[in-house]
Amino acid sequence: MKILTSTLLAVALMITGLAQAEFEPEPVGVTETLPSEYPDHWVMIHDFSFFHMMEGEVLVVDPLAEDIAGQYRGMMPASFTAAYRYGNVRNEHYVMETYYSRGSRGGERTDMVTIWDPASLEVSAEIIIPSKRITGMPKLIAASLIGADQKFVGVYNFAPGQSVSIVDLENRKFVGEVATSGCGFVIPNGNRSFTSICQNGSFLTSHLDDDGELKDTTRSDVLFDAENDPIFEGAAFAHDGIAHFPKFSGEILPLDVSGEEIKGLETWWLTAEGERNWRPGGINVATVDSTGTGYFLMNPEGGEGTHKDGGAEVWAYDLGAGKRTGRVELATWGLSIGTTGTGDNRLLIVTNADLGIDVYRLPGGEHVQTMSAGQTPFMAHGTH
Amino acid sequence: MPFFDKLAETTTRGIARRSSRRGFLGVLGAALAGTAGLPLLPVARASTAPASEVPPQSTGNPMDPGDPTTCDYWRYCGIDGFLCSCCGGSQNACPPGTEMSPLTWVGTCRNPADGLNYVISYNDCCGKSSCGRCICNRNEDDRPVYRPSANNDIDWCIGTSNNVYNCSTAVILGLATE
Repeated sequence: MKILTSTLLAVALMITGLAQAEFEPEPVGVTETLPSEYPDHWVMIHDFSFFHMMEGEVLVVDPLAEDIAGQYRGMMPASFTAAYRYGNVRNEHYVMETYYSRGSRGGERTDMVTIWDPASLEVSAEIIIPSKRITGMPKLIAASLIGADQKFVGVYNFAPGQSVSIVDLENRKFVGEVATSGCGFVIPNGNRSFTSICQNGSFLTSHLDDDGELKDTTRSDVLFDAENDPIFEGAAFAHDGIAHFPKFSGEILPLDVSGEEIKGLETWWLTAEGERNWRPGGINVATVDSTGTGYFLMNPEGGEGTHKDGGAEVWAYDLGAGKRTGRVELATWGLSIGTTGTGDNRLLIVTNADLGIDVYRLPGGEHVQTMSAGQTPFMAHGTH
Repeated sequence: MPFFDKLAETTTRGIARRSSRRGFLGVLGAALAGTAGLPLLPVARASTAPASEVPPQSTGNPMDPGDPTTCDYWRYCGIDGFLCSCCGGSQNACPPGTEMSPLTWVGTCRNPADGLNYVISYNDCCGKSSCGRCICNRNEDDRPVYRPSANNDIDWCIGTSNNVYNCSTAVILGLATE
């Protein structure tokens, strides 16, 4: 009893001490929220968590903040080599991911599209999809929003049969699976179509009805040499509906994806004849900013097998003219690029070789800062 | 100076000098020695060393030269992932309690011992989460994911009990024919 009395006395003295320091009692159970509309320079960084893949995450980051508390605003889990998309029509985050009932030793597999509210960063909905979405290194077009109304998301499956799962985001339901045999990925085109890249260098376009059911398909001619000079699994998607796909060599295959049928356009080169040693390379090698300027991550020692090595510079292009407009010499070798922001807050976001994030202002390319955003931050997604 | 600061400084200076990519990766590789789990996946080509200060390993077969716990080992010319030789398995066997995928992609690597090209099958080991040791990424003859039979970005744990990825092997299938 004597001990208890002493303890109570000590606690009373501590409380008195707190009051003297003019602390108001603080509420317990407070959880922060984010603004419903993020500042447009914020960026979603996908930490792939390559060394423990079940624990991937998408971080909400302010790349202009000067301290850690300001930079790191929140996160969404993104389990097992997930894919991520931001939808500006409904202002939602979409995470295409995989869970196992026994965690990192397997068990029953469940794939889903998880929808996150941007303000609360709580799950709004989860839609179960067939457990066959592709897993592996991230590719921008492994999942894509389809239609100007972003009614659907298509999720690429590889098991190893190839198909695309169609999810109705408006009605929060899985619609069905579209077979894409011999072809992979989801390049949205027109308002109700998506296109897949075929292993012989042609493209397969699948046309959906307003319910997301397959109406018919069309197949293009062979538009590139898939063995000797293949296109990357990503493009600079220009605002005029042209997707500029870089090839390993640095030549560009522009694909008109504005209509329900795609059309291959005249190729152009990122490099002049005397600089063909520069080649695109990295994880995500192409991106477009809010003005429509295109950017490509370039390696000065390009050649066979360098297509994932990253690069020393990012080159800017007027995509419509096929003309280089600038070069950003990176502070540290880059592995993957993305953009975010509008107006004076346009930013180039580069995953560097130390697996930090380098932030550059556009269009000038001034280096703003280097920051940390997870262990393996392979992809950066803006909201513009 | 903390190790990671030193790493950043040396790599940045390396780029500033416009040293060759090999040289740059060599810096990273040298820095990697002794640091388990330093994440260098996409640039780890021909640069990763075992995760501890141990003598070079050998296959014991002079016709199969090199150290299977390093990225330079000849069979790994198209591998992407954690080397099973560092994870309780070997260059052609999975670690205990994991399951080798029956499906994968195949590449061709030149054996420096006889100068001949061999067909290599890059089978993944599956059923437990990432080994996390001896990351290695080399992309000779690698092609994009839409050409799956020639791609190493895919998690090839397909046809196994589950597709949780642990590490990668490089199994000799035979001599390549011209």
